[in-house]
Amino acid sequence: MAASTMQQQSPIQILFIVHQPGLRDSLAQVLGGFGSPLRWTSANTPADVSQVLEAQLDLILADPFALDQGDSMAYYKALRYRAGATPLIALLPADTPDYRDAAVQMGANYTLAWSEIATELLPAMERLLGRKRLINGMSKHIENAADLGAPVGASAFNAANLSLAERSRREIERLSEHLSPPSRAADMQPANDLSSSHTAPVSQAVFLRGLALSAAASISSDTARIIRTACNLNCGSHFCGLNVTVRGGEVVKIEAADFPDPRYRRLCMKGISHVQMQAHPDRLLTPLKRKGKRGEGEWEPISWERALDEIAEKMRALRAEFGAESLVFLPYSGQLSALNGMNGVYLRLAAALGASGTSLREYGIDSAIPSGIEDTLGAGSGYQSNHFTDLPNSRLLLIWGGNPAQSHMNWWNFFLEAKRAGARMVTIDPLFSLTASKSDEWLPIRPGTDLFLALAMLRLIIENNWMDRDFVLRHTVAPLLVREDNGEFLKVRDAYRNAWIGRSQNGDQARCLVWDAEREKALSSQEAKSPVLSGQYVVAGISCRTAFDLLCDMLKPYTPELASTKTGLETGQILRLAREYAATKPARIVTLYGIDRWNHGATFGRLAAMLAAFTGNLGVRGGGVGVGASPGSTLSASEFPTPNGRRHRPINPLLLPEQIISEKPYPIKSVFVAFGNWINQLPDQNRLLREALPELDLLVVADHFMTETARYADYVLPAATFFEREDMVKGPGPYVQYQPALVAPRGECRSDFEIAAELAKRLGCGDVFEKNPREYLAEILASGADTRHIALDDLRAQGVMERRLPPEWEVAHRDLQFNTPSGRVEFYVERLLPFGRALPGYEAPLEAFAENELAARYPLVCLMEHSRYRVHSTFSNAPWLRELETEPRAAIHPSEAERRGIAEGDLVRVYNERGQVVLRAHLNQAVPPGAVYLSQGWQSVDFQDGHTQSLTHARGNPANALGPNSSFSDVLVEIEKAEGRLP
Amino acid sequence: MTKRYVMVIDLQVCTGCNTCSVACKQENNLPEGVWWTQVVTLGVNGNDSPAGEYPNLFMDYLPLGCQHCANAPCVEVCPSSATTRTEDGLVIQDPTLCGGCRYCMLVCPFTGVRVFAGETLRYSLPFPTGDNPIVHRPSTVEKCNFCAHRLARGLLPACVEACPMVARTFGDLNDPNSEVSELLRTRPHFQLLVEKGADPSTFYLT
Repeated sequence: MAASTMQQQSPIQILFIVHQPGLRDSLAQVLGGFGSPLRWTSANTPADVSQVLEAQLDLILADPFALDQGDSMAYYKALRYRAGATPLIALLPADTPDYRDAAVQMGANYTLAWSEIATELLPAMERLLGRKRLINGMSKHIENAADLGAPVGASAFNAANLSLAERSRREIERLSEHLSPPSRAADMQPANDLSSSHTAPVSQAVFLRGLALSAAASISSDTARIIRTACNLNCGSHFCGLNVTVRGGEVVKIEAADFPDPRYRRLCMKGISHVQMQAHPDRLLTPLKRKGKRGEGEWEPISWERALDEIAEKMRALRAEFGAESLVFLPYSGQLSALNGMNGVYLRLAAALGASGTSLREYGIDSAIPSGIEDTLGAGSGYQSNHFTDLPNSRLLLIWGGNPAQSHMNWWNFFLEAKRAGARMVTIDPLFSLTASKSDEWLPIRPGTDLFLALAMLRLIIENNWMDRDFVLRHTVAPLLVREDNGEFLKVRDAYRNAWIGRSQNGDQARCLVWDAEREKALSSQEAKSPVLSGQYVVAGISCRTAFDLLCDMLKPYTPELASTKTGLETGQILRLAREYAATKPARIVTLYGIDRWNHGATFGRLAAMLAAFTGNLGVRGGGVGVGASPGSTLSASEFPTPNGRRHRPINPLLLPEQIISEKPYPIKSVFVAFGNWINQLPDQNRLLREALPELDLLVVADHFMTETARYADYVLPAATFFEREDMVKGPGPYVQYQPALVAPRGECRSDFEIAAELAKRLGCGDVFEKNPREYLAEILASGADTRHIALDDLRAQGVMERRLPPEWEVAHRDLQFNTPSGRVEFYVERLLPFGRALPGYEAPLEAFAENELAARYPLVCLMEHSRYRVHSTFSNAPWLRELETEPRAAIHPSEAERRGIAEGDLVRVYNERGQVVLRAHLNQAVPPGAVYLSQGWQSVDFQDGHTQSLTHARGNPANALGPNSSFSDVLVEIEKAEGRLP
Repeated sequence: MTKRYVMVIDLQVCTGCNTCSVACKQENNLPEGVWWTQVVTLGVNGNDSPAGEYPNLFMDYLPLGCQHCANAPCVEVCPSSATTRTEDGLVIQDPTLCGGCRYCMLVCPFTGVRVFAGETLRYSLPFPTGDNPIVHRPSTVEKCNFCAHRLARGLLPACVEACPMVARTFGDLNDPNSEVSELLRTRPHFQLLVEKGADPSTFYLT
């Protein structure tokens, strides 16, 4: 905030209206500590003040009693008016609320007791001088109001580029010519030509004017009810409690619902927009069967019976010919309720059939950083880090490649709480994101170069001995001996072939060994009293070095200077960052998923986890690392999808198109998509549409809208929304919430539970859906250790209840037990030996790096953002939100635009060898030169032509523990003006 | 003592998410294109674009609605008494009385806080949302009423209630014990365009 003031050339002009010389002296002394040049003038009489006000002035410091004025209130109000935007700080002789209130009434922008001057004055000055920027911005906004894309005021003034005064003058002239305003209110008649049926049930007689009357008249006297439910979309914040007003059978209003912990009472503009989505005129209301070719948009409405019969018949035939596994059920994260959600009815159906389904371990999306964390901190921990409620315990937050203020907006309050508690917030991001703008420091890193920064930080922390040596020795693989011959950890069985040490237990033979300095021999780490960190040792004829030494060797080239060259950050910045991260405890690294969208996402996850380990920031409050989900994850909730212990055959959605095309390892003939927009969310859309879809014999989509995936389906089934069926969600945080069916399903919509149950019946496994949803909900509660104490009836009555979580559930790795093969934090991973990546050295991006030859033709890195106005593709058709974000845009730096002759709002073509998208350009200084930012989730109908997902590729990193992952941002493109190039 | 209702908005925490704007849309059943409050980005090129040059950038958000001025010029000029100031400090715009002359829009120092509703009002839903019984009329001036209908029921304005960052505080500035008084006592703040002398009832914490 102060930065802009600091950069001012001329000194800041301050006026003192102070009587006591002592006060003046102490002010002068304090102001001497201000970071930029100041010049002050004193005025002791109203005439003096008046004279000073003629000149340029930046700040007034006034003791309201200094001038001998009869009515100082009136005087200061006048002064306030004269001084305009110049801030006024009132200096009060005594710290009483009365004085302060009086000063506020006089127009003071801040009140300060004399006793507070030493500590409070400078920070307040910085904030208030910073507001000049706001005021200037405000004036500019008012001048530009007619030009703004935003609809506010746009209809009032159409004449662009005229000054406000000029527009006002013309408008007044125009109005006085053409309008004779009604002289009396009584002449006005209630309009009866309303274009819509919006006549509220209140008579004009009752609604006379504003306040008085609305109180008397309730719009909803008859039938309004307020019912609690929970949002169940996969937005990043998850499961806000909603109080829904239902009137006349319609959802008419959504507000935030209460929680035992009031910090969870929240909602967002998307949550409110469910009002428009629920009764959206485009809702699917009846089952549809495709006429004509796939994707042509020709449909025939058919009955549920016929749709289900035909789908089941086709599935039976495919099952007979290609096996049950050729049927894929692809539930996505668009709904996360226990039954009607990703890990719910369709996976249960798939399990009963022996069919394939979305893997719960390998999503193909959001799994790269978790892969790296899983390798380093242990199986099952990939998505774990300290819960967001632990944020306020951190003293340093390193937000690396994420934009939580936008993408996790309803957790942002906990970040703010941390800031209020004194945490420093540093954001590393090529984009000047919303989060960067709210951070104490922003490090504008070059896209795709994060590994260089992480490696240099690690090197600095080790080299300068800023590491937590005790933690490293006791809890990481640092002291473990690594065989020089085959790269594996030296095990008991290698060193003591014919003997065993310690007590004989299964598994002892596989224990890793360290070198014990005292006994001068290799011992299991449990036995060694004085393990060494460094050294080369020969054990049973096998030459070994410590993993720590191998790491140090690997890190050697990654100097801060190299990192500076690659990342574009200054060497000093890198040094400071490493030092600050190592010295500030506890510190937390929040990655979210930005770098997850790169080929090297998993390596970044490993390095981030190592930084946390080497600084002892694991298992402690305020520490931690990772994508941000909590222990006691909210997503995979129960054993419901595994009836009688049977499981579906898991498929990584990223690899599915390839499998459809190659029929390897087995053919896929039918895909059933639910809660998701498959074609919109998967990369390399052209290949999916042109090569994979034609190989499918059956594509069924259950959804609320005709999404771009539904458009290619053979059958489209109208699914009920979460307002229309009964279910529950696990979350947010420690809670579980009930979702009642609070309105009737629209049209012929049916819940996904019903759809799955009806299909099961027809496919010979109806028994797995023989109970009603409520019974299954009770079973899910009863089977969870955290929810066993909750009776469904109580949950239904209360709406929200607290799960029984272990103490300290907010802290991941609390016990410092790591579920890795060695039981330690593994920066050296045997599993990755065949990939040559036992150590997490630098790994180049697949496509988006400066040295790539492809960059000659496609010089821009194409990064894919999540808009705050959508959840993936959901809400892309929400009218209120579409007024706020009207269309997709390609954001580029003005210098890149200028080079290509592109102006704001021009139609541009973004393209590479795989595909293209045509949309409007947006010139934005937040975007680094050399990059273009696109927003994911817009659908093909929203683009002028093409699709963002036609630019992306489906090449995932095969070394990832959680399977290949989409590298949406590891993509190069070029951009050009689209005029004359539209098809 | 009479009340003086004011809105205090903390710009340090506002993230420009427009949840307030959408909550207002919902509560007041605003037609398409009509916004009573909206968050303006004080950058250079529209919403969510910063000012400055990469990488020396800054971005500020300013939620902007009717400022409910103590010396409201709109009240003075309204020929049909549609714009009035209540004793509590609310500047009320009554669409049933508005003749659509737009004098208020011309004298208002804050361009953009009023919208002139078009000749045809369009809504995406066939029923009214929210709880404001207001009947919107074509060709009239629309603006924020500080949710007078909610205040009368002891509720806070919809935008205040909805803000996920708790950036908005509403209350009586004449009550020294109110939260707004406490905030203005203790935090640096400003009003917009004080030099115009309108004395807005919206205060921004900086």
